[in-house]
Amino acid sequence: MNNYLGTLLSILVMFLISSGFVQVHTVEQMKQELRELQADAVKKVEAEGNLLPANTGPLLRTYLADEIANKNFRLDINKMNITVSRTTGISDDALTYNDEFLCTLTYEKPKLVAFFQNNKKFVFSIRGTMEPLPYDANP
Amino acid sequence: MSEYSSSLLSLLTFVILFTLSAITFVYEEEQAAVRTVHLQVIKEMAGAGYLDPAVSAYYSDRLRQEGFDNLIGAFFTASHTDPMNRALKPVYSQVDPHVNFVHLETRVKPSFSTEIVNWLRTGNGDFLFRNDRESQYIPFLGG
Repeated sequence: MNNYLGTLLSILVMFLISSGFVQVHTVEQMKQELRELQADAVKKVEAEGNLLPANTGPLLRTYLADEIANKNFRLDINKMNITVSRTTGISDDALTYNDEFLCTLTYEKPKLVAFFQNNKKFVFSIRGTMEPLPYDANP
Repeated sequence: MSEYSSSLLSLLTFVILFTLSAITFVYEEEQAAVRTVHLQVIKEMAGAGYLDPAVSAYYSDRLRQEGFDNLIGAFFTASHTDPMNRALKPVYSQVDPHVNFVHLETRVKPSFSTEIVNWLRTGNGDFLFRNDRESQYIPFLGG
């Protein structure tokens, strides 16, 4: 222990490794939670059957707030942004029978992660297809 | 003596590194295993409109084979368990969450290290997955 500088460096490295692991684990869990929320949101839109892409915003916002409270996630709804846009389908503008859409979720990164990376937000996108509801199977 | 102490400190650093990597690896493996089973069960449940006891028993056995013990009761808590009262696939643009959705809650007690991480993160040691899923069950109306 006569080498004070070496000892100090060792202790520093010890804390650095621990904090690095905790940070990586936290961010991985955050990403998992975001992906789970987004998959549920896509399912929610698919199950709705018939709605305009403009109406998905408020619907998903209340839904995600409920989900975060219900599942006890450590996420902030104010840092989150979710958009749904129709890609292909037979109808003109609404999301209906078998239409395809793209759901994009963005979330602000934690400060330490954002410092080391170029893009300041997590971006996840999932494609979904509206449920072909059996309105003609059971008249 | 001083060299021994420095070496000991270095060794301690490596031990911490190894322990943390092992803990995070085990955590992610267990989370993935439980999540997979949960999603399988809710898929089967959505297909039938209710959770059959046979399905529940099969997947409980699978979880036990993975090494999880249900010391806290049943693994799966479902909203529909009676085949006479099933969730139905919704008719066009008439979706009612109380009628057309199944709800499943999977609660699993993981290994000790995972439990500590979970407890630090959420205040509860157990893995808990809750999901709603639209029912795919279409009743046969005769004819």
